[in-house]
Amino acid sequence: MIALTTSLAAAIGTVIVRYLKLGHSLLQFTGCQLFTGGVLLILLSIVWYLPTSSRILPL
Amino acid sequence: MGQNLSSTNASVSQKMHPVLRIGLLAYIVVTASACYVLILKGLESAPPLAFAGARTILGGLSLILFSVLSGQRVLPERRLWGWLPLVALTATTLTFGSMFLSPGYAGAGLASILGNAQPLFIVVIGFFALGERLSRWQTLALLVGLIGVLIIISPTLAGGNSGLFVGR
Repeated sequence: MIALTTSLAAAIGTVIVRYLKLGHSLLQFTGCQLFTGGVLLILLSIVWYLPTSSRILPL
Repeated sequence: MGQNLSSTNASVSQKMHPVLRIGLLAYIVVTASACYVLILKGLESAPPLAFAGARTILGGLSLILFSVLSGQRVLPERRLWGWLPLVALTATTLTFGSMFLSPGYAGAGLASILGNAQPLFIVVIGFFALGERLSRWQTLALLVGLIGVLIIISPTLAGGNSGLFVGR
């Protein structure tokens, strides 16, 4: 299910992006959404691993 | 909205030399597949979600930096701001989060196959959400692809390999 989520979520994201017709904002929108999504992932990682491990960041 | 998928990128792809087009497709397939093997290797020394987050933040910052250095504006048009959290959640958080988690549960090979089934879902969602039509050959290719995915996950659906869905 986790592996299928990769495809499904990416497909939904792609269809939304296609619907939005980014035009000249393609680069900026991609950069900002990657950064925002990355911050969400780090926060999710903290919530996920904090109770069980002190190893949160990939260092 | 109701455009045929085959004509969507026709202007771009038709300008390319056939060998270059095939080479580009092969490059995408190889890098997308190799990515899972590299993720599995990286997971030996990094937690999956933070690893994915570090990668996407780095990618996002690189694009923003490129925008700044090339004299373009940093932020997208205002009409797109409201869509940013939704796209970030689906296209980045869920996609990369599950991409980095899946090799640890299903193995690099299986995770790569299922993780790269994205075009099949895009076609189905695009058909219902955007009204994009398919040619007969594209419909046939979609059915073959979906049958392939079903064959791959059938042991799990039958209860023979629960590892694919819930982990080892």
